[in-house]
Amino acid sequence: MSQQSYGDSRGPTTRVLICENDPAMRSALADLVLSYPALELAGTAADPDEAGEVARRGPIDAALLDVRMPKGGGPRAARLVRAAHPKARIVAFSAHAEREVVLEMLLAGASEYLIKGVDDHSIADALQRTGYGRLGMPLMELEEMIFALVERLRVATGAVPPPAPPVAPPMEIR
Amino acid sequence: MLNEERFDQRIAELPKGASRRDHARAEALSELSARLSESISDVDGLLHSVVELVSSFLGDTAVIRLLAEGGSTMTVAAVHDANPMIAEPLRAALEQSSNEIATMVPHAAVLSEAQPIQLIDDSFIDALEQMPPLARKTVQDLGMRVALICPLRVGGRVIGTLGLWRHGKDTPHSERDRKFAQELADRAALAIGNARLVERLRAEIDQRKQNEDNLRLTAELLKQVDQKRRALLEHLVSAQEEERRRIAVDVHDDSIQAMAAIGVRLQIMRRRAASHEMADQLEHIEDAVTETIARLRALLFRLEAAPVEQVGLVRAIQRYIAEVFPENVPQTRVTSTMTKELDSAMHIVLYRVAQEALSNVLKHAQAERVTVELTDAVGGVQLTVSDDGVGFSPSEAIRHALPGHLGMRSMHERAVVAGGSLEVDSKPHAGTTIRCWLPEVRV
Repeated sequence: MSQQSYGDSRGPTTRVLICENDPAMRSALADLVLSYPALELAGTAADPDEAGEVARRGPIDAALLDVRMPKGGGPRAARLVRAAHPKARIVAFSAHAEREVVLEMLLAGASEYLIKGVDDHSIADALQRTGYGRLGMPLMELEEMIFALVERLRVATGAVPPPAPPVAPPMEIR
Repeated sequence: MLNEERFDQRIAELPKGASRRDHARAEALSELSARLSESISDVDGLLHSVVELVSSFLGDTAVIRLLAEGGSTMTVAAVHDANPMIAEPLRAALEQSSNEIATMVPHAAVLSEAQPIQLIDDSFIDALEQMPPLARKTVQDLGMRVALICPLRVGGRVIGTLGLWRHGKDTPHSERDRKFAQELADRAALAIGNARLVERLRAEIDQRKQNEDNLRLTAELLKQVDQKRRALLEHLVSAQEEERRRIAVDVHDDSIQAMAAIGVRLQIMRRRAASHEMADQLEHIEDAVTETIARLRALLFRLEAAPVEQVGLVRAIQRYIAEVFPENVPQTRVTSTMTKELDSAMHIVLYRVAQEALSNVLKHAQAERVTVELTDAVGGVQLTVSDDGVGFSPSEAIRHALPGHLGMRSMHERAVVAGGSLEVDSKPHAGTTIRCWLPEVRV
């Protein structure tokens, strides 16, 4: 891809909030946002409280949120941003995808879950609603998450349980 | 117990019109018999009753000696005379003299023949000459010239002697005296035999009781030790897991963050690079950063809490393989036919050992196939990880501290701490099999 295709801003820019507790990563992400003309930096935050403040100060179109953070982490930051801007796009950004954490972020409103180390275009895509909704999870973990979700659904809807526990493969020992 | 019937029979056998003295003797025997059955365990008291009784009836100094354990010496058990001026010096002399049976000729004869011997005239002088000097002098000083030595017989054995040393007169013991003395001697012997038996039984019962108590105590202790060991293992495993979790957090929050931040900056730089050459160079660095992040992430995965509780052992191991091994290289198969109950600490130990073994396979084995098997085993369960890779010589690995050996040691330590064992079976070019046995939980 050539850089021009990302440099052009067709239409209004996307105002981005960055919440990341690692200072080096925070400033790198800020520079990344600044390097895309289609993105506008609405503000940076080091924790969910600061993210909430930034969100209350002005319009936010998208939030790039670290997942593991003090003071409630990514899920809380997502809820605070959503409270101020219900239409804001939430992109989770983490070094690792664990089933429970991914689920929690999705429930808090995240539309993508990016793993640190992805290329910057993917980040820009995700923030600009051009991303395709990646979860960045290993396949097996993804399968487990689906089964866990199905289980929740089953309990919630009172559906008939399957003949064998779906999570357990035939050789399962539990 | 004494045979009362037998004793009564003996009284009935006494000649009709017997003298008053005979009646007194019969009464004395009866009284002694009663005492014997009362004080079954008071052997000393009993022996003193016997010497007192026989001494008062016959007027002699009565001495009971008992064969000591081993049978080569005799000990003076009781001495009595109505006159302490006679009893005391004799007792003192006897106690200070040799007790070797070999030096006590009349006693030796009584012991071997189990019959009373009358010492009088020549036989008394002979006996006197055999005596130790002090005893001989005392006997002479007391003017003793006649003695009767009766065996204490019980159950076909002679366990000691009753000596009646006459003083003040030189007449030998009458037949009646001898019978009386022998009767007393036998009764005393029977009582001693019974008392010893009772004592031995009591000691045996005590010993058994003590053995039982010891056994119970040992069993209890073993149980406690086992419980403590389990608690310790649980503690150790959770401490290890906690430590790994902390390191994982550091890797996540520090190392990966820092590398990822560098990656983001490199990407920005590359997009803004003035030349293609520069962009290519930056891309190389970026690739290196991406690779480093991937490695750190694999490390993170290895460090993070064992997901055994959530997904079970097989699935957890499969997941580890999926995360760490490149796609389908080597081919892996994880199976379990394990039915035994294991507590969570044991599950974690098995998971960590499997993880380490698989990590070694990936790093060193160049294997095409790896199998992980969980099976029931004698007294526990077994984890077997085998590959068809290059193998190694275990002794070489130890000698040259080959890389990967550290992991081998940590596997071994984990197994041993959990009360199990681990063996490594490998030869160069013949693959490697690691077997880890862990004991099951006994309730």
